[in-house]
Amino acid sequence: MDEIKSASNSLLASYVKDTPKSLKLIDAYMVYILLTGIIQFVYVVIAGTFPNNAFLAGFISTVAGFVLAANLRIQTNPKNASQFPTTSPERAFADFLACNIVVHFAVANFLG
Amino acid sequence: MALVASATSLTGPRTLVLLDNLDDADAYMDLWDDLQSRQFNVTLHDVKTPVSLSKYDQRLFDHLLILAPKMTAYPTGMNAKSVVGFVAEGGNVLVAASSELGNTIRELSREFDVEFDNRYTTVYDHFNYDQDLGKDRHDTVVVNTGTHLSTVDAIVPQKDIPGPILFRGIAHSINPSNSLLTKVLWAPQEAYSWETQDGDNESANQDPSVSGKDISLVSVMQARNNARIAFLGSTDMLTDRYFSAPAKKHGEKISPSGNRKFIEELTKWTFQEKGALDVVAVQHHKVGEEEAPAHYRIKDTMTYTISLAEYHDGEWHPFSADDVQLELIMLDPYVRKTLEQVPLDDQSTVGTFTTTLQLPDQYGVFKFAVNYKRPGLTYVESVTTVGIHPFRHDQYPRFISQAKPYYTSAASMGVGLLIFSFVYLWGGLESTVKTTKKA
Repeated sequence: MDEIKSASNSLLASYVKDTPKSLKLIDAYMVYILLTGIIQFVYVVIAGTFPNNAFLAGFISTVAGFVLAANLRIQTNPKNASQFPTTSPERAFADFLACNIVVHFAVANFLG
Repeated sequence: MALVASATSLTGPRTLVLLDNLDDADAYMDLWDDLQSRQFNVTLHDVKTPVSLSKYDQRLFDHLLILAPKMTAYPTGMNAKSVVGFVAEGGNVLVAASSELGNTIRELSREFDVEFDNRYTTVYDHFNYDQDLGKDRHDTVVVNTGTHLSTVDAIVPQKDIPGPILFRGIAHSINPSNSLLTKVLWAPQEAYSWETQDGDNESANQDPSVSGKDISLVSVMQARNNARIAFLGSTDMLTDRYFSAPAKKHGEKISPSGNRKFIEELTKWTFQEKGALDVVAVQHHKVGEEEAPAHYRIKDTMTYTISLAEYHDGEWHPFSADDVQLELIMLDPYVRKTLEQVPLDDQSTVGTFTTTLQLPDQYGVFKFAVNYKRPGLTYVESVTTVGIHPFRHDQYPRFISQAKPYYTSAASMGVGLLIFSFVYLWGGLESTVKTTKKA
């Protein structure tokens, strides 16, 4: 138990110390998306699937947002820079925005 | 012997009567009178004279009355196939048999799932015999109409028969799994079918082939094309003698026989003078509208109305029933609902049955079907094909309160993206981002 505690403490400490601020922002954004998605899922279990299309739209918007944010995080992480020699952080962010716009159009269309 | 007038039969007045011998006709004078008073055009024929039921594929007669039980061969120009073909073209047939039944009638009846007992057998009853006509051999059975007559009033209404029915003749049985056949009159519990020549007091070393209520005395069939066929085990029950004889059963008071009225009702039914139904009109529309739409939409509330008329006594009358059902079918019935009859008044010429229902949540090509098949009545099959469309894209409900969490979620994802982007770009994170090298 103590080992787990000390391990998680050192994990947290190194996260606070070593992770760039921009990645922490992305992480916070992803936690927010995750919570929104979980709340919707609990709601659909309690309230039933009607109207199904609205549920799908709302839930998919969170899933897609989460996936796109994860992509952004991977591509802008300095440690992964060697894997994305041709992708600058600016380019990664532009991709992220473009994809999000497409997702939100689709969601708004499907929301009913 | 012919009388032409407007027929009270729905299908026509031309009636052919086949007799073993033209002299036999004298025994049935009351029957001919009854038929002619009902405007039938009766043609008597013996089995030796050539006669044809149809010419150039047209029926020459509308009804066929076979009173020739002994017939061993059809008259020239007729055969079993032509009689069956006559029925297939809508002709009605009444067949009366007797103990001296020839093979011709037996084979004809087999075509209709009716099996007569062996030749030279008779229905005996030592309890319910008539004390005059069946005095010696107990072969004239007095049949109580209250208990041994079909309750299908469309064929023979029980309450109209004034007395018990006298029967002397052969037993038959019908295939119980044939739903087109209806037993009209059957023998008392104590009756049995046995050989007519009772030899020298032969010991009964075998059971009768058929006994009690299993013995059908009169049965009818309505074919799928609504042609009607009646089978009687007795020619005697049609004779003047049986029409007028009082029924005298041991231990009961003498009452007039019901034969004449029974035969009248039976021939009326067989020759399409009653119990014929017709679909006069079918209407359907959305609630609040008058006209039938080109198509419906799923979950529409709509009204279906069918008007039925019943033919009897030479006229069409409103039909009454409480068991007419509507089915909405697309391969399977999606909705099955009993139609309610609109109360009849003096002006009613048709019976109107209606219901209001909500269409199923299923789109496709549906049939509004009324499939009304009851013994004794013409089969009614009315099918209206309608299309049921799904909602158009702009016909779905909007802003459902139950879906508000989803709307909020989608909106918050958008707002979240804006805030995130703003902070990411102008939130003072430049330095960290810049640490990454450019390609």
